[in-house]
Amino acid sequence: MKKHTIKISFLSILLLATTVACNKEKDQPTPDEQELITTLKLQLTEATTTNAQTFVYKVENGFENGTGTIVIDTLKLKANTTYDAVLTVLNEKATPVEDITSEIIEKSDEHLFFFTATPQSGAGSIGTSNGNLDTKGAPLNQTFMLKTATVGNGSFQVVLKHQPSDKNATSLTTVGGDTDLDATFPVVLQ
Amino acid sequence: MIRYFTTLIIGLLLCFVQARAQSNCTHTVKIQLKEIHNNRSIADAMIFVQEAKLNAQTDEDGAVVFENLCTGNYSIHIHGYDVQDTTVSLYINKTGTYKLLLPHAEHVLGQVEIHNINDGQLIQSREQLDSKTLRSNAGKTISEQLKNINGVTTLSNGATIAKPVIHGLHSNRILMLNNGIRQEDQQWGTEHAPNIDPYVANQVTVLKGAAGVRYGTDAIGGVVLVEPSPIRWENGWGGSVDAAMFSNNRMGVLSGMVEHRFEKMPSLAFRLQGTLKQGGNYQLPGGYWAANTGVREQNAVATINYHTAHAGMELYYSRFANTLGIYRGSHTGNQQDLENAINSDTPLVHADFSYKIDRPRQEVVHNLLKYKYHLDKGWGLWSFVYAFQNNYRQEYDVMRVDNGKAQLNLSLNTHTFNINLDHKKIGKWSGTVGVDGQYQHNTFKDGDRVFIPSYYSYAAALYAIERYSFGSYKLELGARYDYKHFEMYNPQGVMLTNVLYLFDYSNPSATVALKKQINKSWDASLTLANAWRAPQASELFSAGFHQGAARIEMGNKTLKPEQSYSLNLSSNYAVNEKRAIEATAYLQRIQHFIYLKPGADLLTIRGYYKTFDYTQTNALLKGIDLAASYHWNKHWQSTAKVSMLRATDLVQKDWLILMPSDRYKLSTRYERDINKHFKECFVGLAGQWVNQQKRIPANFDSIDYPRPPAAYFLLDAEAGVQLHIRQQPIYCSITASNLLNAKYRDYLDVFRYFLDQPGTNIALRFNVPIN
Repeated sequence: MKKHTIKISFLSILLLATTVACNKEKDQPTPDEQELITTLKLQLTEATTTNAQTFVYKVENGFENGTGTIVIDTLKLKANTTYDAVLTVLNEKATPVEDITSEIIEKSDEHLFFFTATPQSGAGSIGTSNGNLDTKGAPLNQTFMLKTATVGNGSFQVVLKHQPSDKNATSLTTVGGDTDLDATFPVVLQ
Repeated sequence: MIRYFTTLIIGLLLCFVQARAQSNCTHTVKIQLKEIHNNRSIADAMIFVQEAKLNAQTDEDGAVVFENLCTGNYSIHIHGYDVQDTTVSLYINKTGTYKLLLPHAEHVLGQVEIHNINDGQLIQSREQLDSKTLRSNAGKTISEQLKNINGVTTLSNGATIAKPVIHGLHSNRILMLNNGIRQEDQQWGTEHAPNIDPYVANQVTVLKGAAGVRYGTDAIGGVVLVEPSPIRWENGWGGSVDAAMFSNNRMGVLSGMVEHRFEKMPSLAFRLQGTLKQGGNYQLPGGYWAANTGVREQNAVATINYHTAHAGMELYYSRFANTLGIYRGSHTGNQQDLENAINSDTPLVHADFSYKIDRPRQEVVHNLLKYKYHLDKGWGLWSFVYAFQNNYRQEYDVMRVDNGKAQLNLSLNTHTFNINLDHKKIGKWSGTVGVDGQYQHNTFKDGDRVFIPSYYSYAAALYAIERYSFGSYKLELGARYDYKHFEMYNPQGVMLTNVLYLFDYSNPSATVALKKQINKSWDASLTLANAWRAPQASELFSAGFHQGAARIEMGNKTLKPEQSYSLNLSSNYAVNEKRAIEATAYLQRIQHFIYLKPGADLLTIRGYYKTFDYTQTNALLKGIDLAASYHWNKHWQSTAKVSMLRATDLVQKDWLILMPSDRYKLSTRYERDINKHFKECFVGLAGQWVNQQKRIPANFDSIDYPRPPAAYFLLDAEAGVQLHIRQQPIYCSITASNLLNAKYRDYLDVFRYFLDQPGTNIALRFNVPIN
């Protein structure tokens, strides 16, 4: 009787091990990069004209082969000029390309585009104003006005924050929340 | 060993052969051990009289003689190959012979995990949390409770998620055995705490140092054995109710147990147990609340036990389910966010008290089904164990759009079996031989976040441990051969296509141990052990963001198994009735020690990230654990503990990162019975000093920021009583941890970047045993 129990248990283990061991190749799940962002597009239209330009900042991550495609356009703009700016956020790895901007606008109170120009003022600098607002009247800055200073070089950083704690903060260190996107364009004003 | 249980299972018979009145301290007492059923004498069992610190081994007639005993109560501990470890209380007031009738070991094996019996003999540096200590720490997680053991610290993610660290090693380098079954619960991440309900345990033992020969691969750092109390021996109903309340996070815990042995069928018994737990955000010194750090837990255990004189079986099922909130501010977007959090003195995410658990959070369910059969026949005691474990872990990340789904749905299924024989003595050799087998499948859901590949693994092993006693020496020799096969399906490349990788590992390991009983109150043992660990899936293949630390970790497919060689020296010395010293010194060399080495920065859409590559070096760990106790009088005792570790990278000739710093603990406790209604009343105070870790790699600043946190001092207090109302005992206690509300951070806490450790926490506990 007891020997029997051992035998049966032993056999059932062996059986179990062999039955679960087939047809594995097909069954493997495929992971997905969650809420992936690959690209930021900055569309600038010179005020009172229809001269539109689009600048791309794209970093496609694919760790197995290092970083994937990288495109970083330089903002070559006229000095002392005002532009209407529109930001678009994309996942270009998805087919068809996924436009994330609508999700951001939908949850506008949880998002903020934050700009940092270097230098802050003078030759080569960029000023921003008139950013659009979220559903609660706080800044969102998905569309804004961009004003270039005198001839010179610099950079322009666009950071997309998720759930910032202070939307009216004036420094990136006090905005809070976490960073979904951090893009820095080189700037040439001529 | 199992003090609790003993009075229940022992038929104690006292026959006073010679009876004549004598004055104090002149009693000569003969203790004779007999088997309860056949009255056979039990030879070669060790008998230890605790109060008199006397030790002796029974002769062929199962007898020992102690002279010059005083009148009074004595605790007699009995252990040996043929008997269950037992403690008996004896009142001695005259010279005489005391005959103790004990059940033969096999009769109670059904109650106790087989490993328990072996451990009684495994020569290894060990320390235990007994039922009393567990009761006075009830409600804490298993890892928090293990901190009471010298040489054990924790690796934590704030106050709610912690895993044990033994002599500087953690995660897959230590093993946890839950009721004899190797716990398989995805412990690869720092944020993965062991899924074990400590209310199930009646005793927790830590084997320090490598114990790979008996317990299998990976046990490089040590083994934690979590053992439930043996099932009820008497007929009828029994049970207990436990409740605990904590002030800091307003946590409540309720646990209950019922058990029954059938009067009409005394071979059959069952037990049911359940635990409920709910806690909210915890509070930091300064009045801040840690956002989203609540916890919920529901656990259940059911056991059926059947035994006859020479065989028995146990069917055991346990379910552990919890939901753990993770501090919202710990999931940072990039390095800048992390630096902002580090540089802020107060938590960046503001919160009030709440029981609500939002994203990020984890929801884990761990199921364990175990079947055990044992038989005393032929060559010795046979046991057969089969267990199935299912671990389902869901992680809910902070999302732009909350779709209600988890971003990670990991499922780990493990089948294990073991055949073990504790063979009868062959000449002077006694020992254990056995076979282990394991099949494991780890998978996730389509569309989950990239974490680790799905894999299948098969493992088998053969082992033998033999012991030989000569004079005051005991020699132990062990050998084991393991084979492991992995099939891993790694999603890789830009399109994340699955690529199959096969890995095969096989390895012999061995242990040699020698123990000497120098005299009645002094023993010393030396253990030489070798153990190994195969690289795990995350070390081979991880490729992705580590949100808590804002960095990218890259796996390495060429990793070799880690090989550990260790030397462990431990000694227990009772200087006299008042003073006792316990010491353990260890030296461990780990070849191919796997660690994370900083690599080049990598540009991502969220800015530059630090990257870390899994790589290997040779490591040397050496340290000591020292404990000394002093009894000022019958009621008042003080204990001092010291734990030190030096961990070096032998290739870089530098310190290893993330190793616990030196710590010192001083505690004192006063305990006495007031009257028959107020027993075991106690008050205690404990202070712990933890040094700042200054032994860090020279390139620390390029790997981690900021430097390890400052040294800290913690003061804990406790008080309790065992109330007796009519026949009913009720244990009540009140404890306060971090009594001074000290503001501190710990180096081995991943949340050291974001949050202080919790402030004062006052806990109120009740335990009511029901018979």
